[in-house]
Amino acid sequence: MTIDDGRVPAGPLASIAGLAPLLVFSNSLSLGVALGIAFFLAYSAAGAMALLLPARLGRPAVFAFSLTGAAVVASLTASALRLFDPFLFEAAYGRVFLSVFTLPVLRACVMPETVSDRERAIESLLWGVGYAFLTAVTGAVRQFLATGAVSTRFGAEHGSLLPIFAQPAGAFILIALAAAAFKVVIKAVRGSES
Amino acid sequence: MDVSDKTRDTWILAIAMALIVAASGFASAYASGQAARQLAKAASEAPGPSARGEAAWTTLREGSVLGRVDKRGEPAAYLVVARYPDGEFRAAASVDGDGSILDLRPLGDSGDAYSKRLAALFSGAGKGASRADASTLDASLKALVTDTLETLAALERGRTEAEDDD
Amino acid sequence: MSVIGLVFYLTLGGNVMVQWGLIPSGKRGGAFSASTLVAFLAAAALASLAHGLAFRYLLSPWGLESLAPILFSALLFGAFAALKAIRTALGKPSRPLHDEGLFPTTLVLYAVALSIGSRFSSTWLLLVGGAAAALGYVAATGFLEAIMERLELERVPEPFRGAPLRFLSAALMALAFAGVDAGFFSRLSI
Repeated sequence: MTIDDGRVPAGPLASIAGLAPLLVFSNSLSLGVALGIAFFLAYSAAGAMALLLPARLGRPAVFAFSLTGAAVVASLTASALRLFDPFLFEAAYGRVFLSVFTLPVLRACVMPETVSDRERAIESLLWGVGYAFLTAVTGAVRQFLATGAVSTRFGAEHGSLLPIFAQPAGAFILIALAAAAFKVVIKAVRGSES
Repeated sequence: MDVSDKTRDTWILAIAMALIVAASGFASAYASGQAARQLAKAASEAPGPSARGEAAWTTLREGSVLGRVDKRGEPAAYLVVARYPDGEFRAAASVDGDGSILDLRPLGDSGDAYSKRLAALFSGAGKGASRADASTLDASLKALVTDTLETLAALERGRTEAEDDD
Repeated sequence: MSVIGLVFYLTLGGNVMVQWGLIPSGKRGGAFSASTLVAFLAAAALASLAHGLAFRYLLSPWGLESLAPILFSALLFGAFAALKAIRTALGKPSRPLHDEGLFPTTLVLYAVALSIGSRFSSTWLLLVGGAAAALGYVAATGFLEAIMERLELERVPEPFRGAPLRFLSAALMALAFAGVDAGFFSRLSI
């Protein structure tokens, strides 16, 4: 699930494609915020553990501990979500749990080997904020396109504008348009630099 | 690299992780208890006859049936949460011994067309109402309503049989 | 729903590729050998069974549902250790758990386990549902790869080449699959 056709940088765009399981489900602001927070916490926990655990444990052990740490954080997030809104938990718990096994989180669990890998890993932790924000914004945009309004309350999404955007097909269309726009922007930036 | 250091670190981390997992378990159980109270309250406070008394919640997660609220001396009420692509319909359904719906009370504001039709179809199924008010949405919702009614009947029969055995 | 209806539904309307956004990269998508396919279906069936039973009968009664991802991680590590031991005994090399090539498979297995585990409670339906959902995923990725191959011959605007086109194709597949509703198969008695 990587976007790498040799024309655009693989990093951020590949991770956005890796977020597709969350973006597809994020069809309202409340779901988007819940999934964004769950992803950010799991991603940060995985990345921080992979960076901070002693290298002498070996890559397989660091991966296993980081993945378990991310799973524990997802578990705590799900419990907090359940306290906040049991209906939202029932609707979203599957995706909150799945956030642990999304490609960006699994990649963050791998111990960086070289100094440059470590520097990139620290940088990619900052990207986590962006990915979480993107998940929440996707939810809000899809809700607006589908219903004509944005509601902060889960289960209060009424109205009908373009209902397709509440469905998985709408998420794929939005991701495709965003990826195409990203490629155009990257090309324009590179053109102005040269 | 000292092998004993690696083994020691691994064990320390494994024990720490086990303790954190245990704490997560307690957090989950606490959240579950609080959620049960909130869901029982939501089902009990819906407009209708079942508004007083202590309610016990049982999570079921069978199809569209999220759980059951048991109140002493009253028919069991099931919390129905039916999801469709752009929303969900929530209702508390009181059922009799064979699982047929006695009363259905939508929870929250059922503002969209799907919720309104689902409420009408569930209520109609319970009261045996005529289908003079049929809508074009009914064809796509009928399977969901039928499955939910069958699930409710099976769950209630199972519960009453278990009670009789006791 | 009959077993055949279930298999059709999980291949079309309830397909995990479109419902869970599991779009393959295209580097290996659709290229499955028969033994890999059988192993994948078996793994999906077992993952659904293990997750479904553990969630319903072990975690749910005690209010421990939130521990599900930790449990799945433990199952994953256990299955991987067993597989590694078997391959070592047979003198075959095994890939490390942190090999990036295994990540998409792990994601799909968990998505299948979550999707099927939350839907059924019987052992038989969990096994069949898990295998059917995995089969649906393999079929859908095959369709998507075939569409992408055909589109390579077409004149597509430059910004849409590659990933955007893949997602647009997935969107059209999702729309087509969404038309095949669960209700159609729930009444099917074969």
